[in-house]
Amino acid sequence: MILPSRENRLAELFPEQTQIGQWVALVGVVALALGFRLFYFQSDVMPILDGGMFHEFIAAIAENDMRLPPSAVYNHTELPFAYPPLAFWVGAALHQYLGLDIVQVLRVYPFAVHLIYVVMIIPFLRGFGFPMTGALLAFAVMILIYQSFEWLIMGGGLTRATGAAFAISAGTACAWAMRRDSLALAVLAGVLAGLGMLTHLLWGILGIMFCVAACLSLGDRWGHRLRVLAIGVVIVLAMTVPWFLWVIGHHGMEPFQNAQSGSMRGTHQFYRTARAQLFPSFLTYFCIIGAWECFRRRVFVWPLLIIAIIAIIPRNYFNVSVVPNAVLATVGAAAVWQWLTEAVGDIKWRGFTPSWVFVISDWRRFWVPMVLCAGWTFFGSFSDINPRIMSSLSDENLDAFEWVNENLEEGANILVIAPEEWFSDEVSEWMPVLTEAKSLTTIQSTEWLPDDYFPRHIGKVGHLKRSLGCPQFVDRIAEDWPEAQYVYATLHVHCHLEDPRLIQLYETDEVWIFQIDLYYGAD
Amino acid sequence: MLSDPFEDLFPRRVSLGVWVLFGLLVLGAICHRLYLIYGAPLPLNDGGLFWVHTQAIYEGGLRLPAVVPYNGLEIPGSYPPLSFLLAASIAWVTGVDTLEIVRYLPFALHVGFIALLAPLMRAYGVAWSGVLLALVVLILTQRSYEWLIMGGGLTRSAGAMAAMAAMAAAVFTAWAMSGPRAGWAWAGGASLGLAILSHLEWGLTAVLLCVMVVATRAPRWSVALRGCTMGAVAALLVLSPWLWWLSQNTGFAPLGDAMATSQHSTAQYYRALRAHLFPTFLTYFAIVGGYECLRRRAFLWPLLPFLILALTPRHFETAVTIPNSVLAAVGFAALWRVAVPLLGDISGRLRPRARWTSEDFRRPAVFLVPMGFAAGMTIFGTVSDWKSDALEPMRAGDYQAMLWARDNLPPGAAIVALNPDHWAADEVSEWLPAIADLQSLGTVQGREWLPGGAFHTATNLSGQLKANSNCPELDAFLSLEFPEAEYLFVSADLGERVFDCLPGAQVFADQGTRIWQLKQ
Repeated sequence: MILPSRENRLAELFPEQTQIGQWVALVGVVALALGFRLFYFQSDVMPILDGGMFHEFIAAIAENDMRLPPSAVYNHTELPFAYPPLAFWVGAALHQYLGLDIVQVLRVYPFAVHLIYVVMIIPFLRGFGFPMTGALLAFAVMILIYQSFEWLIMGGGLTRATGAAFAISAGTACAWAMRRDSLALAVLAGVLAGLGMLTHLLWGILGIMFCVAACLSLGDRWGHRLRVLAIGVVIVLAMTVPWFLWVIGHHGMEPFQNAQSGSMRGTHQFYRTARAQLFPSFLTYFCIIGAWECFRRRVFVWPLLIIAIIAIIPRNYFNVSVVPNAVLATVGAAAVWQWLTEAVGDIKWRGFTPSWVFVISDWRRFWVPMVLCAGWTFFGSFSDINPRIMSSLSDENLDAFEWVNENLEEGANILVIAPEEWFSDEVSEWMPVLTEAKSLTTIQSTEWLPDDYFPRHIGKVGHLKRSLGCPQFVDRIAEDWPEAQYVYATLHVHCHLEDPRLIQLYETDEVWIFQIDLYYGAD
Repeated sequence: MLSDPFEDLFPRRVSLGVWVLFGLLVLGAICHRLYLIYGAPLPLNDGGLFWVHTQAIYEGGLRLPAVVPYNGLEIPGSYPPLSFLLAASIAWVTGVDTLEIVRYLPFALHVGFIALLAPLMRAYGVAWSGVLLALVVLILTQRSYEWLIMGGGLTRSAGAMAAMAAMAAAVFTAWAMSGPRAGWAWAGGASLGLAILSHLEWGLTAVLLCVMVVATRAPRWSVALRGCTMGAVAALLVLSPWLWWLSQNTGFAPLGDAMATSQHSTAQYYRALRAHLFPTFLTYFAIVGGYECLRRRAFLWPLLPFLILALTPRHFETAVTIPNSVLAAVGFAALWRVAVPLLGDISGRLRPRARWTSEDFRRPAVFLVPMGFAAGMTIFGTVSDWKSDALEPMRAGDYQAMLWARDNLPPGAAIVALNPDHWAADEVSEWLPAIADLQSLGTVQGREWLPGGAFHTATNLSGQLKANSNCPELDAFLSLEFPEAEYLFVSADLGERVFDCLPGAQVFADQGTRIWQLKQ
């Protein structure tokens, strides 16, 4: 039974029934979106960008007979296994029981799972009382937003995509639990939110936020809301507390506190986001109009979700805000379309082509705003593309890694100098996995280390990358990285031509490897 | 006056408190501008070329010069001359130094530009409360004065003057369209001519404003046609003496050269639409305002930003402050209009006995709240956007060095000025030829009127000059690009950077500014 809860005050913006044109347009949109994503799977060997550390986590579980090991080794450093483990378990199971290579798991699995996340927006919005036409329009917008897949389909998307799928599934179950007053669905929402927390903390928090939003906005009695919330809280705690206790038992609270230092929560981050990045490029116009229409109709849940996400999950804001952003853009586009058809209809009737049968009710031809909206979103996504993030480890780097394994001693200390920011530097991420060397400049995994190691290490690496002139480059190495033995560069560092302390060992069009002799010329 | 599409958004009456807040905000904004202008030894940022032009008119007995000597170049006197004539005439009548006029006249004219938004909005039937709200947003937006109060604000410097004329043209046209008033149509056309006669881009903006006013306000096509005809005739009458003078003296080719620097390009439109269509933080309110305008079928204001961008992309950010302030004001008022019943409901639930209803929020005195919020938000956005380069006063050392160079270096000597700012905000390169009578090799200003892509060549060279990060690089660059350079002027803005590898000797040093004599 569907409860006579608050009607969706946004429903009047959307036609009640879909038409064949909208479904046809949707097929085109999905084909475009899939083509857009598959374009980035150019390497048939490596996943997009990252996942190196996750590779080691999966391998550690598999080698430990599918039991959670207290720690895992990455980049010659023993890390506390405090990362939510569910996705690694799934990866290890696929490796162990189906015989899939871990690298291939990291390459394919995130892409497959992120599709669940994107498709789930349809039942999610249906749960919030949106007509099918509105839910399909939101799906078309969401699947084309760049941030709906950017960090999800890469190797590191193993946890993010799984967490995202659980988050929106939890919200969906909770919304339908509220609408149908269903205990079973409330329990299911709690289970899915718990699984989300066990997969990725930030996406898990988003799942809980979705559930709270559904309870508050769809319930018509406080007793009803509190009952569903209480069920969810109990189940989430029952599922996550054992794991928390396990981590605390092995490592204490320290790993969580260390990871918290990378959360980027700060006034400056809020300011920067509100200034320029609150919405995806070019969707800003529609998102603001959508937020305004929500505000006018006192549907506060969607604009408030944006603000709540900035406040609670600032580091992942841009990616986890995709769902409310897609909804706001959908509402904005529908509002503009409704106004536009009315205005155009009036103009036609008033004298331009009175014989044309074009009236206000033509706004029901919803394939038109769907195509316009899809085109506009795609244009914005195209503008936002960061090719450095959406790249895989190249064949030249794989060859160079092989050369490192064959020619350098095991555990050699290497400085990786790449033009990218640390989070989009796939060489630093994968070198510790695919070679026996230790990459001194790899940032990944250091967020779990104590004494503010993570921000200090980022600063130190950045300092080195800004000192590429001669002779300050080698001077900087001598001062900050005395243990370094080799430099692995994917950008031009020509110091070896001027500075005898660098000896070139390997050279291709893309990779240069140097040996460092800091004591050259010393007696 | 026609019906007001925003009558439900703005209270019809204005309370004393709103007037007081408005007065305080305007006073603060004016004082801030005067503080910037008064604290500089020369007019802010640019205006060197315009001062030379004004001086040439003044010394020529208020006749237009066919050629303006600036920076060792012969710049065609094709620049729309109205503001130069006005400045020279004031100097002629009052005896005030032309340099002081170039310093203060742009400020005075830009105040008129801002104030004229009021009659334009009133002509559209907007209540005074809405007009005051839009004026507050406009006067507090950085772009409403950044490029208008500086020396170059005399005409882009004429910009202030031209903006004023453009707004006046729109106002007169709006009044003319609201009834069969031929006089207003003639006045609108004359103002349009004055705008073109002051600054070409602002002139185009004035044409756009007038066309849009006619399109949205004319009750019948016949009225629109008659008004446009009268306006066009009046504009041509105002412009014809100058057009005749151009044909006899400089020809029209320099105007074509200047048009080549207009920055019409897809990339420019894309960039503006992506991030710069509205000032930071006003974006939210301007978009809501634009949408509310569309819902009420008040198309003028939301269309203007796009049309201004398409027509005059180079000075888009300054001209768009006019519709943006109206859109933001509508957005703020619409937000307040929706918040009022919401607040009333909340207060009713929390304090049922207090009898505090949504009607209480509608009282004119309570309009202080959205006005204060709008002012705070605009100031916050302006502070966020603040770029000090353009409005930074010239360093005292730089000015002293120019005076020393005027007295001690041979007139017309070739000099290279080093200053870290972008060429458009590089006050040293602009004023050095005007004050010291030297040939500054890296100066860009004035070359937009020269043929053969001289402007683009100069901007490229200026960029390369400023990119030299150390002495050997600079030495190599000077040898290659400016082998005729005799002197190097190092602005105090560069701090203690050392140039001791250059062949030559330092001949001046004061308050951080240095001049080198280079060996050939």
